Amino acid sequence: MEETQTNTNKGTVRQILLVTDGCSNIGGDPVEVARQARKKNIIVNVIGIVDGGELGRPGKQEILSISDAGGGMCRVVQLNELSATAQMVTHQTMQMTLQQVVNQELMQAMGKTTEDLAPAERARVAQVVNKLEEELRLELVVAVDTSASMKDKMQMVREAVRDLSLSLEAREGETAVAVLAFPGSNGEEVKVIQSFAPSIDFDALEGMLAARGGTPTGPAIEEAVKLFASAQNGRAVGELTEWTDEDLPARRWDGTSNA
Amino acid sequence: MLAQGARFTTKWSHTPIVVEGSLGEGANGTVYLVRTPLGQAAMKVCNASADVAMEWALLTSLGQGANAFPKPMLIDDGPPEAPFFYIMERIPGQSLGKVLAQGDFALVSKVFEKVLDALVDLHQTGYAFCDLKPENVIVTTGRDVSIRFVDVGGITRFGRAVRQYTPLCDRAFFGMGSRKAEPSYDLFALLLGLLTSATKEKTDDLSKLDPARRLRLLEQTMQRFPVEAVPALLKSLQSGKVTTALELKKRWSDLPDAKKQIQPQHAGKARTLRRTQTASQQTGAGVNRSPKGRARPQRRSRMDWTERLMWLSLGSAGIASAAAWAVLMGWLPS
Repeated sequence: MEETQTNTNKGTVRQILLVTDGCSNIGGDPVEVARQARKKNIIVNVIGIVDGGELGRPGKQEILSISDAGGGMCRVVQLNELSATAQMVTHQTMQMTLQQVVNQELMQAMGKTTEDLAPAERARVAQVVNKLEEELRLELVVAVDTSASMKDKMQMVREAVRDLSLSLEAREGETAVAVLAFPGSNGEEVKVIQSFAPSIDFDALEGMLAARGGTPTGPAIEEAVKLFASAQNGRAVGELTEWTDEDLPARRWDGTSNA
Repeated sequence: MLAQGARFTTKWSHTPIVVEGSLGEGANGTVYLVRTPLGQAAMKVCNASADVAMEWALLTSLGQGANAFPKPMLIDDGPPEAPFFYIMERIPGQSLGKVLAQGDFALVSKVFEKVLDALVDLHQTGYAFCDLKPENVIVTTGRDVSIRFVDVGGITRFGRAVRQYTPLCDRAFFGMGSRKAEPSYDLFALLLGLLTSATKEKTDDLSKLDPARRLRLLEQTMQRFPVEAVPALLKSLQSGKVTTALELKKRWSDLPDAKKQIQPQHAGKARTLRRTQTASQQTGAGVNRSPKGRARPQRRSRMDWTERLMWLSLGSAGIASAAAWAVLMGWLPS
């Protein structure tokens, strides 16, 4: 119990993982919704999945814009890479979030970012970030596109979500994960397959089926944000600081300056 | 990507580096063969400075436990194509994955013991390797067989979640345990790496199934693994009787030698296993072949068109020169 308390005090990382295979065509602008999410310190990651072919240009453009607005990552992968990519994206954005916080602290204390430090010193920072990543509370909403075009992909997607759950369960820190399907199988825009719980209920996942109809991506992100609001406990990491778009591009040594 | 022959001077220590080639892609970056003032070495380049920093921290802090891993040499920054990197000892040799593909199971048995020894050392420091796939074990055969590990990216403290793994070597993928870093995770990975190398199932096909069905398929094929002791060891891990590298080593040495050698009915079959398409073919293939107790790569019996063309040209050249001699010697009327 005491441990739970400590974890919560250290903060919570909130993420949405959007899995889709095309463009949104129902509901509001998903990019705007993602921007709103980010203002609430919720990161939006997007994985575009293709089965053999390629993602259409508008689809690719849209998911890139969603992840940019949501401060997260965007990956387009083959169906069979979904499982590994979902874990990688979750892990890397957690690291990114923490790294930003650490950078802000370093900036305030020393006027430097991590990348201004000598490489050997960075190793110590990396260990701290790594420890934090493992111990912090993670709240994750997995939102799965269940529009008609996903029909043949659902089996693999279900197994990938299940596999992601195995990695989340192994974390030292607390984890809460929820699953949304959009559209729902009864004509609703979004269906909550599972609200926040420490692990994914595989039986509930079996009920995540491809439905008829279009792709309400915007409403799905909106619903995810609502889920976070209802489960609000603990302070979000980075909440005390106002993020601007300038925080995002990583500072890189371009090889021309003399050190 | 850095081109072969690229040269640069590192940002912090001003060390001159010459890129001599690429050694391969890792999970989070690229490894190059480079020449440094200290000699030839391997350079791991990542796009994220945190990845480089983390791996460097592991290589430098595990002491004796990291003996099997490459020795760290330098951490520094480079040009935009290699923004963050570290340089380490280059480990020559052949991966265990290749040894398995060649079907040299006598060598595999020796390698297996050496890997267990290295795991005993690593586990003493409280860390697990995690991404222990056959490709990450480098084997050198000289007077003695020795092994080294590459790719430190997956090393994780006991009790934490595994960050980097390969599905076919991941016990959680087959529903045989958690994805938490602990000694037994590595032992599963080692045995799974050996067993799945001989199965026809690809990760893609297995990914569609649920973990219980993946395990059933694995159990079906692993009974045909050429070294009987290996499936037996997996069973002892599954039962929870064996949890540490030392215990597994003991169990291995307790097994009769006959079980650790390649089984007679499997002789010459190792390669066939990887090639055949269906399970029914697998059981039939190679049983009556090659009575000798060792698997060797087999010469392909069917000729392809290049070989036929070669024999045809040789044959006609032979006939033409024979005819020419005959004419010259006057044996034939000209």
